[in-house]
Amino acid sequence: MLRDLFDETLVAARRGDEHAWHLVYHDLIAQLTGYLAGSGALSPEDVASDTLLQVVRDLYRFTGDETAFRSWVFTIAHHRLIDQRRKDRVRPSDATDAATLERNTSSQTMDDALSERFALDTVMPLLALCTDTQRDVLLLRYIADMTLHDVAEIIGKDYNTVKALHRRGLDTLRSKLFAAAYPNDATRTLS
Amino acid sequence: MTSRFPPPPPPSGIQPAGDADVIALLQTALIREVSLARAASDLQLLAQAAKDTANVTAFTPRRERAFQRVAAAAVVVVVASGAGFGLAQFGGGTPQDPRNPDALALETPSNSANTDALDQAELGTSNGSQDGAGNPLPEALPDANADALQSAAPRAPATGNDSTVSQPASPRQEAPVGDAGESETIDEFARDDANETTDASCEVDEVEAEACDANEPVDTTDPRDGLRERRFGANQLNY
Repeated sequence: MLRDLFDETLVAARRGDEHAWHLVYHDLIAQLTGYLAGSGALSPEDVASDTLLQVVRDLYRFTGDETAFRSWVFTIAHHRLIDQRRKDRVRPSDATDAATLERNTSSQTMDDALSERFALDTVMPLLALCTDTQRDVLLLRYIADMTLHDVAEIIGKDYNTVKALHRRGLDTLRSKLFAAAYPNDATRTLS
Repeated sequence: MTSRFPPPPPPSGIQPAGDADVIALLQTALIREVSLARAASDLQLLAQAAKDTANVTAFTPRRERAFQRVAAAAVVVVVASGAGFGLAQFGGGTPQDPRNPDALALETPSNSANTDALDQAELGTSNGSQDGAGNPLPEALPDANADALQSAAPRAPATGNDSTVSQPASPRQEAPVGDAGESETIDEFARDDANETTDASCEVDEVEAEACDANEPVDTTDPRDGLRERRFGANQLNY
C-alpha cells in the first residue's frame, strides 16, 4: 500500500505522470493477478491489465482514500471476472497454464520455484472445491486484503451472508487440506 | 463419523491445519510479482492510456459544468414559459425571471395576446369551460349532450307536452320559429325550461326515462350512461 504517498500519487496519476502509474501498478498487480488466478481466470494477467486500463480511463471520476481506491479497483476486477466466467465457463483446476507458471518462476531460484509450484498445485484444486462466491470472498479477503465489509460491497451481498460464506469457505479448505495431507486418516475429523 | 477417543497427534508432529495455515498457503501460492517483461509491457500501455486520458478529461469537468449550466437554463426557460402560459390562462401574473426580468416583461404582452386569441378561438367550440376573460367555469355537459339539448330545446315550446331533457338557459339561443304561429321570447323560453326542470316526471333518470318518454325517443348519444338504449325501450336494445 502507498499509505502516505497515496494522495500525491493519485494527483500525479490524474495528470498522466508515468512514475505515479509505476507506483500504482506495482502496488496492485501482484494481488490483482493472484486474485484473478485463484478465481479461475484463464488469463489472469490479461484481465489484470484490462482492469488497470479501466482504472486509468475512469480515474478522473474517483474520489476517496486509499482503501476506497483499492476497493474500487477490485470491484472492477471482479466485474471483469464475472464477464469472463459467463463467456468462457472457467475451470479453476486448469486456470494456471504453463506460460504463467514459467513467467512467475523465471526470476526465482529453483527451490523457490518448486515450492511455489507445489503451493499452486495444492491450492488450485482446493479452491475448486469451493463455490464461486466462497472463493471470491476468501480471495478478496486474504489476497486483496479487503475487510469483510468491503468484500460485501464488491460482490454485492449482505455482510452477514459474506461472513457465512467466509466461514464455510475456510472450513472447506481446512478440511480438504488436512484430508489431502493425511489421506489414510479417515477416522480423524477436524474441529 | 467421529471417533470416541480424541484423535492422536499425527506421526510427523505436524498439527492439523488451521485457518492460519490455509491463509498462508493461499497467499504464498497466489501473490507473486509479475515478470519484468510483462511489467514493462503493461506499464507502457498504462502510460500511453494515462496521457491520452489526461488530455481528454482535462476538459471534462469544465464541459460538464457548462452542460449543467445550459441544462439548468433550459429547464428554467421551459418552466417559466409553462408557468407563464398557465398563469395567463387563469388571468394571473407572469413569472419573474430573476436573471432577466426585462426579457420576460417584453415577452409578456405578446404571450398574453396569443393566449387571449386562443381563448377566443376556444369559446366557439369548447364546452364553455372558460368565460370570455379566461376564468375557469364549472364543468359543463359533454358536447354530445350539449348539442342534443340545443337541438331539442327549440321543440319544447312547440309540443307543449314535451318532456325533454332540461338544459341550462342559454341567452344565445334564438327564439324558436314555432308551431301554430306561436313565437316566444327568450325569457318565455327560459321560463318554460325552468318549469320543465321542476317537473319530476321528466327528470333525466335512468329509472324514470322509459316511463316518461317511451313514445318519444330522444336522441341522446351519450355512450357513457347507455341512456339512448334505455330511452328507446327494451326491444330496441342493441345488446
